[in-house]
Amino acid sequence: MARHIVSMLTAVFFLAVLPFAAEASFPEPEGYVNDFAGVISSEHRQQIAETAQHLKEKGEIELAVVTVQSLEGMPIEQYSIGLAEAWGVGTSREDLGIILLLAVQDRELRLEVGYGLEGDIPDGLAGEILDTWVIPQLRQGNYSSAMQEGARYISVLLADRRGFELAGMQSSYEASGGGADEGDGISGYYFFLLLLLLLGRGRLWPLLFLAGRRRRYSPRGGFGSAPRGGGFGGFGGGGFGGGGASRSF
Amino acid sequence: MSRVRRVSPAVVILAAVGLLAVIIGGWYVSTRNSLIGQEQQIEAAWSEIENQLQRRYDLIPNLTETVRGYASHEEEVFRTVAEARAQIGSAQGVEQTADAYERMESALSRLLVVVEDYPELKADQSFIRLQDELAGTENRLAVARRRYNDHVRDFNQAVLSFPANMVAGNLGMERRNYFEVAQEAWSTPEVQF
Repeated sequence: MARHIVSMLTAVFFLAVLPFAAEASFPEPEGYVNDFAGVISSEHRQQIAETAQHLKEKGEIELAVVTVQSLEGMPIEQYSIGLAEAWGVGTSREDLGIILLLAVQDRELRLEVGYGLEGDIPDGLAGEILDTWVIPQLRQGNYSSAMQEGARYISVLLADRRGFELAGMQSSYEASGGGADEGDGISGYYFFLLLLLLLGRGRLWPLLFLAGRRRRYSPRGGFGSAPRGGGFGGFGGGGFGGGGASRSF
Repeated sequence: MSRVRRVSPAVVILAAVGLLAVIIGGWYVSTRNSLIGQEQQIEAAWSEIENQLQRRYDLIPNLTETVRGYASHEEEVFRTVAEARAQIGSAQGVEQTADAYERMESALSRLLVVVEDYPELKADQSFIRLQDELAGTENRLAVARRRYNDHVRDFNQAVLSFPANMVAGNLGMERRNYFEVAQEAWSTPEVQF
C-alpha cells in the first residue's frame, strides 16, 4: 500500500517536472532501407537490404540507408543525430550502428557513425567514403546507385576492419554491374581498401590515443523493443555521439 | 464491525502516523536517489564535453601545421588559434570552459576563412581529412553540449520545483549552469569543393 502511494506520488511529481519534448518528429523506420524520398530502385533496395542483413548476421552491425526529400529546415547533422537517437540504430550493447542519409532537395549527404564504429570509421575516413563512393554518382543524378555503392562499400570496409566474411558480397558485387570500374572484382577492391587504410592510419594517428575516452549515452526510452509496422522488428537501440561526415553535392 | 470497535483510537492514530512516516520516508529516499542519478548524468555529460574539447585540442596542431604548409605568412591567424588553444588548456569549470569553447570557435572560423584563399590547400587530401575530423569533433561537441544542457534542465526543474526542492536543499544540491555559447553550435565548418 505504502509503496504504491510512494511510487504514485513520485510518478506524479516527476511527471509534473518533465519538460515538454519539443523535438522534431521523425518517420518510423521501415527496415534497413528507408527510401522516404523514393529515389532507390527496387533492385538496389533489395541489394542494400541484403548487404545490411549480412552485416547484421556476421558482424552484428546495423546499417540504415535513409533518403528524405527535405531536412525540414534543420542542418543535416541535427536531423541525422535526431534520427539516430529516435531509431537507435545499432545493437545497444556495442553501439554498432551506421546511417547513410541523403536529403534530395537539400542536396546534403551524411554518414552518421555510431559510438562502437568510430574507431573503424573515423570522421576523416567517413568523409573520404562519401567523396569517393557516393558523391560522384550523386552529382550525376544517380541517387539509387550512389546509395547502393555507398552501402556496399561501407559494408566491405566494415567487414574488413572488423575481420568477418561478408558472404554473398562477391555475387552481389558482380550482379550490380554498372559502375564497377575499380579493378578486377573483390581483390582489387581489397587492395584499394588496404591502401586507403594504411594512408589513413598514418595521418590519423592522434585518434588512436583518443579512442575509448568517450562516455556512453543511451537514447531515451526503450527503442527497438516494440515491433514496428511492415514486419520490421526495429533497431537495437545503439547510441550515437555525432561522429561521421557531411557533404553538400 | 465489532472487531473495529475493539481497536483504541490511539492505535489508529499511531498507525496513521506510522503509515505517513513510511510514505514520506519512501518518497524522500526515491526523490533523493533520482536527484543523485540526475546529478551523475550531468557529470557524465560534462565529461563527454571535456573529451571532445580535448580531442579538438589535440587535432589543432595538425590542422595549423597543414595550413601553415600552404599559407605560412598568415601568422596572425595561427597566433589567435594558439592562444585560444592555450585557453582551453587552462579553463576550469563550466563558464570558463564555455568561454574557451567560444573563443576557439571564432579562431577556427577565422582559420577556415583564410583557407578559402588557398585552393591547393582545400584540395589537399590530408587537409580534407583533418577538416572532416574537426567538423566531426565540432558536431560531437554540439551533441555533447545539447545532452549536457538537457540533463541540466531536467535537474534544475527537479531541484527548483516543490516538493523535491526540499530534498535538494537538504542534500545541498543547487541548480547547475547551462553550457552556453553565443554562436550557433550547429554551424559546423563544412568542406565544399
